[in-house]
Amino acid sequence: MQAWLLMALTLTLALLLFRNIRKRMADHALCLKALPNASELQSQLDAGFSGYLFLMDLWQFPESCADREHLASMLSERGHRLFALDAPSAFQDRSALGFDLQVRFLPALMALQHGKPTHEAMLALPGKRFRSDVMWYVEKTEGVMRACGPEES
Amino acid sequence: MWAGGIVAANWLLGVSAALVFYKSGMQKVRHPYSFREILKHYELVPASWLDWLAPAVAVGEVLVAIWLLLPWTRFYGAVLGVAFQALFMTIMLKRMGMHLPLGCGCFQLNVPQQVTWRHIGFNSLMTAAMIGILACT
Repeated sequence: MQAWLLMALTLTLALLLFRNIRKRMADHALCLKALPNASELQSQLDAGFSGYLFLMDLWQFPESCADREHLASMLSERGHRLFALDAPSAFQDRSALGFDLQVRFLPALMALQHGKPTHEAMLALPGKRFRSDVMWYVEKTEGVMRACGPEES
Repeated sequence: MWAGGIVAANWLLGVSAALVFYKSGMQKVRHPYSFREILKHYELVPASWLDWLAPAVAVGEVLVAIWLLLPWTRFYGAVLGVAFQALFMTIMLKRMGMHLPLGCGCFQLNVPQQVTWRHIGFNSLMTAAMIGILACT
């Protein structure tokens, strides 16, 4: 009897969780459509944008629209831009996005993560402390970029 | 003494397997959209099924974890766990050698991986643990 009652209770909770996940997936899909993408990134590079371009792995960063918008607006205040890209193309097709992006992006992540592969560097930023860590992340990247110096065009 | 050993084995296997299923399931619960994209790369089911399949697998794994943890439901948790492992092993065997750009969806998400015999080995170990639980119940 206990087993059946527990199973009924956990199945009910499982159903509620299922519905919650489905809603979050639908919200996430809508939120992603609002983010700038790779073609807009290329337009920024072509227009001679002088700030830093922060690439965000679409899938790894927090799936909260509010957190991503917060990051985008903070970066914008400092003269940078946030772009969301598909994980494989962000790290494997960098050449398609231009030399400028390669130099500005990779050294920041390598410096932050002491030489770990880039995709592991992206994974290491803890999502639940996202809001408090994001300034650290931005300032750290700016510091690394200043240390690297201007690259040749 | 034998009975005590069986009870201890039942608890040890149950809690250990529950932790594995919990870790795997909660990763998918926290990042369901990422998991959905991973499932898409397996190319096993129509894309329209993924919006149902991804949350179902996530919730199913958490359910298995809870049922394995509770002694009253451990038997059913092990049965469901065996079913999950059989499904995962079938998928891994069908897609042996396949490069998955977003990972296999096992624990880490978004780390490119290739399906290898190591995945089969781990799933076999988990299946053995479930069978051990069933034997000890």
